Parts: sequence; C-alpha cells; structure tokens
Amino acid sequence: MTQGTTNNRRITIDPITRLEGHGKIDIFLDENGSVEKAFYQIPELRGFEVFCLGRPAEEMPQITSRICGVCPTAHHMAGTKALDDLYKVTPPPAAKKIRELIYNTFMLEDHALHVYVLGGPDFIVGPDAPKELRNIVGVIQKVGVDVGKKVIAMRRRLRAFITYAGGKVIHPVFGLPGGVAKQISSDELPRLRELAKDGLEFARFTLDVFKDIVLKNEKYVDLITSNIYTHKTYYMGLVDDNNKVNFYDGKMRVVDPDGNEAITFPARDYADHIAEHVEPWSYVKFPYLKKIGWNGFTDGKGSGIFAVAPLARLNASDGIATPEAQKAYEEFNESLGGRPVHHTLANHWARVVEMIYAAERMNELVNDPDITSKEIRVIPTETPTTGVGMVEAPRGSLFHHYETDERGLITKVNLIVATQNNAGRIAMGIEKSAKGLIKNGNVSDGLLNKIEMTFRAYDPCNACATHSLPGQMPLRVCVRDKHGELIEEIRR
Amino acid sequence: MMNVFSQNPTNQKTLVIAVGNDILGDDAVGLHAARALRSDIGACIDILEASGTGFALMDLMEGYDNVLLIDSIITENTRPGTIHQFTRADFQDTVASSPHYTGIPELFQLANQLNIPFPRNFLILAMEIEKDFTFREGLTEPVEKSLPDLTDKVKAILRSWNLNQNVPHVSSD
Repeated sequence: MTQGTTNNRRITIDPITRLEGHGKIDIFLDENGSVEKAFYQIPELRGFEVFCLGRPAEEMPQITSRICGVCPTAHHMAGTKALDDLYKVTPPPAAKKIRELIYNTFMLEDHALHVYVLGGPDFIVGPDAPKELRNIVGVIQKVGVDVGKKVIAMRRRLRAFITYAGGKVIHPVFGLPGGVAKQISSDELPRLRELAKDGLEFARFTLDVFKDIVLKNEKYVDLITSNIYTHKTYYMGLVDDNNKVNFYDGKMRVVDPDGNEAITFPARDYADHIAEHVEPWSYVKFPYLKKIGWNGFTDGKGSGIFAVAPLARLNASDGIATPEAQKAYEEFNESLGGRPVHHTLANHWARVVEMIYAAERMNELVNDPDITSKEIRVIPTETPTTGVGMVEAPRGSLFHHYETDERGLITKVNLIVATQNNAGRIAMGIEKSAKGLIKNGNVSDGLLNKIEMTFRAYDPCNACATHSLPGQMPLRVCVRDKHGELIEEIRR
Repeated sequence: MMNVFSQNPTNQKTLVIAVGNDILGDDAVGLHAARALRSDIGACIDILEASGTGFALMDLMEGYDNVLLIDSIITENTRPGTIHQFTRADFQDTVASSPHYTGIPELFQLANQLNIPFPRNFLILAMEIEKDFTFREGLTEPVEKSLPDLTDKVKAILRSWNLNQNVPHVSSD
C-alpha cells in the first residue's frame, strides 16, 4: 500500500511490456490525495488501413482475424458478412446456420473463459482475495478440482468443433462471400449433438455456480449494485425481428437510459448513427450516437455515450428467443430492479445468461435438418463496391466496412471494434470508481483491483493485434508530483 | 553429419512454440524463427506457430516433456535483436495485469491441480523488438540480423534437451 502525500500526484497502472489487451490507467490526485481525474489509455495500432489497401477483399476475413488472438472468430464473421454485402449475395440457409452454429460455439467458449479465468475470479474468489489467488487457480481452489476438469474439458471440446468446422481455431477460414467453405457431415452429427447437449448442461451448471457463489453473497451483490459501478447510458445490441438477442444477425437496436427504443438501423447505415469523438489524451476515438451528440463523459439521456457487451445486449433487447435463457433473462432483470440494468458489474451475470442462450441455440441448430445440407454457397456475380458487416462479438457490437474498386481490391477499410464502442463508458467508469475508492491518497492493491474490475467487467480487448511474452509481467504504479517528477514507484 | 534432432535417445516429447502476429512486423520474429528451424529439426521435435497466448497455450503444452517458447519482447532496456532467456521462475512473483491474461505460473499450477501432464522442462527465448504497433509484414534490420542467433540458441537448447534428461540453467542475457 502507498500512503498519500500532499502533492498533486499521478498514479499510473502500467504493465511494463506488451500484454494481450494491455491498457494503462493514469490517476491524478489533487493536493488532498483525492482523485481529480482518471484516464484509461491504450496503445495505438497503426497502419491497418494502409496494410489492407490494394489487397483482394476476399482476404479481409483472414486478415482481420489476425488483428486479435482473442476473438478472431468475431472478426472473421464480421468480415465474411461484409463480403456478403460487398458482393450483394445472400448465403443459402444452410450456410447461414453453419456460420451461426460456429459462432454460438465460439461465444459459449469465449464467455466460459471469461467467467472462469479472466473476469470471474474477481467474484468467484473475491475482489479482496490475495492477488495470487485471483485467477483460475483460485477459482479451482474455491469450486473444486472436478469443476476445474469440467471447465477445461468443455472448453477443449468447444474449440475442437470450431477447429473442425472453421478450419483453424486461431484464424478461421470457413467464411466466404455467399456462404461457407465446408459443409457439416451427417457422420459428425451425433458428436455435435452430444457437444451441444453437454454445452447446455455446462452453461446451466455455470449459472448455478454464479448464483451460489456470487448472488448468495450479500457483499458481492452490494458491490454489483453499488453506485460507483453504475452508469445510466444508452445501450446497443443486435436483435432479431422480434427484438430478441441475436449474436450473428439482425438489426442494431439502441435503447435510451430508460429502456425505450431510441434508434434501430441495418449494418449499411451504421455511419449515419455512430460518430467518433477525439480526446487529446487518448488514441481511442470515442464512439457516440450522432442523434444525441457528444456532451462529454456524462451519463443520461442527453449524452450520446452508449455501451455494448452482454449487459448492453440484454438491455437493448425485449428478451431472448430460447426458453431457458429467457427465464434467466427475466430473473436477471427482476433481481436487479428491471430493465435496463445500469450496473456495470452485472455484465458478469449477463454473460452467464448469454452462455445459456448460446448453448440452447447450438442445440436448435444441430437438430435443424438444414445443417448438413450440401447447399452451402451462392457464388457472387455482382461487381463489388461497398460492404458492411456487423456481429455481436463476445465484447459487444463489431462493425466492418470495406470499399473496393471494380476488381474487388480494397480502397477503404473502417472497423469499429467492441471495446472501442465501450470506450466512453469505460473511461467514465474508471474515473467514478477511482473517485469512490481512493481517499486521502490511500491506494491499496485491493483498491486498484476494484478499479480494474470496472474495465474487466466489459471483457475488453484493447490492443488486439499484439502478442506478448506469455509470462506474468509486473504492474508498475508510478506516483508523480504536480511537476511530473517521480516521487514513488510501486511494483506488485 | 548426422542430424542430432533426428534421434531421440531420451524418448521425450519436445515442442517449440512460436508466438507472434505475422502482420505486425517484428512481433512475428518467433514465427520467422520457427519457419527457419523447420528444415533443421528432425521429426522427433514438434514446432507450432501460435497467435494466442495465455490460456491458449494450455492445450498446446499438454503431454510434452520439454517446451521451448519463442517470442518477442519489449523491455526498452536492451537493443532490438537482443535475445533474452527466461525460466518459469522469472515470472513467479509477478502479477497478471490483463483481463485476457493467464500467465505461465498459473498454467503450471493449474496443470498440477488437475493432474494434466505438463512439461518438466520449460524455457522462453524472447527477442527484444522496437516499440512499434504498426501493421506490416517482414522484420526490421536489427531483428532480421539477429534471427540466426535466435535459431542457433533454440538449437543449442534443443540439443541439450535431446541428449540429456536435465535442462541446462542459463541465465538471462
């Protein structure tokens, strides 16, 4: 723990080398040791558009999936849908269902990873637990070795299917304009049905774990619903024709902080509704709703800041199309005071609700007669011009926009990734939690963890393209006086 | 001359994992090294190129006796092209700071908790690169020049693993 001083101070939470998803938090304290301002910064990734220019558009689902080692399937899918639009081709039903099956498998696997390994330990082990236990190792100590084995085995089976259907698990290659590259063999169906059934059982089990460990603990519930982790913003998510949650396809729907529908739009119109605000202290352009306008980092109906990710998806929908997930959705809303739910940490619960939906949807799709059809592609014949694709990545709404010349060579690329969509709300959240948790200059490991919990709830993916030496790197906390001089450095 | 890597007197399973992003310049140095090594290394050693880190490595390392990981690193304390060598112990006392991150110590602890067969011998070789997050293909000159040093180091470690039961403990460069 570091004690406060009477100088203006700057606290930096900064990994000293590159890490997947590495971000940096700067907290400036005033002369009383209270938080004056907090900034959440991430490194700039440069040259992506230049890299893509002149390349065949068909390469984009492969290239964009290389942006990120964490969610390549989301980029691959958004890119593939942008190619459908670019070549004005509608995939046959079987191709759409195969894509959706792969995508829901990916969502289940990715969400499970977050619940048990990445963000969940904050709750399953506890936000004040020793740092060496706030990880999967601590989770297994808490829930037992058998559960650990179950998690590892299920995740492996889900990834094995993505590899089988997608070609490669890290950088999938199945998506083509107008369809997919590979049909699902009927020989494979029994194994797939078993996987979907077990996947649903696993999702149900995860919901039970969450209820037992988190929701039955009054302290955790108080934390989730506490004011420092609450923001009343707009919420965005993809919905089907009945305004039910959909990860793969549909229209984008935005609701206001009261839960009323504010905007809906198809992928093609995204630029009419989303604008980007630039701040001098950040490389991130902060997306906001054009219709509302940018009014600074503030809550409420008058601020164009919106949120994406699991909580936002549940808020932006009128329900979920599968029965068990709908039940879980209703319980979620009833328990947290009704839709929309504004508590950032409720993202963890919403993520588990979405696991149920992903698994139920997998079961529907593996039992759909179309899933083994040989009609998996419509060959494009139109001249390409512009294509936009959108999907719900695990971390929220993801947009890919490509323009090409008549030969299909890229002339323009614009991507808005999920964590970018959340950037405004994440920045507000970090500042608010820092203000609530740091008093008189007292900064403890537990407090810093609670501030980091704000952004972990969004499952952010900041510097998608980078990789790191996969050991644990220390965090560095730099305390600087008002002249920028280093007065204290803490490593933990 | 007989290729030492075509024999496996200890009958151990050995894996080289190269981690990197092949469209992010020097970040891909490990991948370049892996491609250069393929022609020199016999069938008894596996080489994998991976773009995921953290938890994704769990599946890859399971069942191997020896794993050598090659990657890039930015310490900003050494010149680009400098090769650093780490053991598991080098990461023991540090803390994961990223939400997408499971570190090497956790992977080994987890494998131990769940009785997953995991490498007895584990080393990391990482080459210092410039702090540059620009998408491009190919390596910068200092990194390209040091690539043979990296592959030589990999081969030296593999040779020792292949011939001995124990890993030599070599300190960081």
